[in-house]
Amino acid sequence: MLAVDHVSMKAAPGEFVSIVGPSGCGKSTLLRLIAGLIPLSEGSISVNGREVTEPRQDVALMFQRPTLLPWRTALQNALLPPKLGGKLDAQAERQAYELLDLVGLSGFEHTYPRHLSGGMQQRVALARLLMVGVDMLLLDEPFAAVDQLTRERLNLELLRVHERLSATALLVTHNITEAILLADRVVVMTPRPGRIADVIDVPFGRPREQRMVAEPGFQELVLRAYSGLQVPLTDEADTRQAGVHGT
Amino acid sequence: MARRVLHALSPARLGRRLWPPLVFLAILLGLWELALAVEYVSESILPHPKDIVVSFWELIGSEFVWDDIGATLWESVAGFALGAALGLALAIPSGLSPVMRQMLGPYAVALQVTPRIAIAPLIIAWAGFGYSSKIWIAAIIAFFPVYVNALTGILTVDEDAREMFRSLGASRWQTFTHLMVPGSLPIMFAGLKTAAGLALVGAVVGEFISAERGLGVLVQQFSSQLAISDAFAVILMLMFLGLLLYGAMEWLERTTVFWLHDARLVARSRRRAAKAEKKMARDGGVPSGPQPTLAGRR
Repeated sequence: MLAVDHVSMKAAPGEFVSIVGPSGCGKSTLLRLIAGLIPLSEGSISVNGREVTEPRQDVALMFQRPTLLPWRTALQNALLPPKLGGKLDAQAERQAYELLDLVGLSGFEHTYPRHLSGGMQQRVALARLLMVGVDMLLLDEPFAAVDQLTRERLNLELLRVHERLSATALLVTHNITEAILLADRVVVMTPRPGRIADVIDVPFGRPREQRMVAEPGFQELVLRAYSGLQVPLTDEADTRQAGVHGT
Repeated sequence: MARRVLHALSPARLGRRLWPPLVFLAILLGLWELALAVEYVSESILPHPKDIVVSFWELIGSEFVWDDIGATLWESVAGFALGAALGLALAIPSGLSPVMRQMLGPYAVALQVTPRIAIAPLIIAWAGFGYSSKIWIAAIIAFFPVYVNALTGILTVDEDAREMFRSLGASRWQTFTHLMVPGSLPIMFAGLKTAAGLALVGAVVGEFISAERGLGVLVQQFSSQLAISDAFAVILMLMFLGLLLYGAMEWLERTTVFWLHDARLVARSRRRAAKAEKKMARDGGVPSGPQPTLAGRR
């Protein structure tokens, strides 16, 4: 089945790019292709100038659910990447403490996931992701499982973390407001097969704040994104192979 | 933690939890005595509850009964261990390989639907009248729930967690030891608990067919001698053995699958925090304050 077709894009180092589109437009597939979790049938994807062929240490994918291991504390969960990589040492531990502090979990290092709220669990997942030491953050609706208010707060915290890290971030979401508020650039996709309908440059400065949503310029961008999504849907069987191009 | 335990055992709390089953016991004993008083049943068939208690104490005081208790306990425990080991040994490859699953699946079901007690006389014929035949019977009965539950546990490990392990570049062995094994423990323990009770059934069935020692032998002997209160007393002992086995598994579950039990989690969190604090004090480096090393880390 063709999931993504003729999607070609580039992201500069440190840039924050949102991909927005309805269900079935292949956004999640695109992230999994970049993460090297599923093989590419045609086209090419490169990160740091190196083609993606398998899961890599400089690319990390954050899932919709926190998927923490319930038998490990927040700290131990954050330490999973070095543990699996055979690099569990004092320095890794120090880094894990720092990252948990960065995501606002100082004091909860030794708490088990069962006793953390959904939002806190997702922060642990973020800390674990950052432990990998990535150049490319792939975020697949990372806060879809928490309530709207928590989600808005976590999104802005995510931005704060991103600004400190100088990593490229690729956020997939079906929430247009969120996509615009967080990103330097918004890629609007249409479904079946996934294609790029529009690319919107977001002119707002940083740091971003929740109240920017109310500005007229912001509303114009939201309308533009909506119009980009209004492409007639066709159910025509398409047997061409998926092609993804990017850097 | 200690306060929690004390709280759980406080007289008021204990009283609240104990009265419903005690009321039911009183009703049961009342009906029992009533049936005897109006001679609905004869005393030679159904002894007075107090006679059973007397028989129980006399048997406990005698020396021979402990050999029988020991025999049944040994057969159950060894049979359980053997059955559980076989169940796990087959469940793990079945969980990891679809081909193995297809290969073993039909036979596991066939073994499940066959009344395994019917195999017991054959096993006595093969393995003799000693302990080993009872151990095998107990093992065959205990095998199935362990196999099925361990397999289910492995197959239902969170798909997202597997993908996360793959994205972190974990090896198959790491995924197995760090994800599959702990992830399947909760369901596996449900099977182990069932199996512990079933192993006792297997041991007693084996003793019924042919044995020199064991509580199953005693029940049969006392019943045929119409020493009904003694027979009841032995059944009480079997109940206590069953409780012992179940309690042991329950305890093992609570210590192993600690993450499903709030009190244990809290205690572990505190222990870990205290340990980390001590370590930090020793090393002198407290990981807080500004973090200049975050950007460009690798």
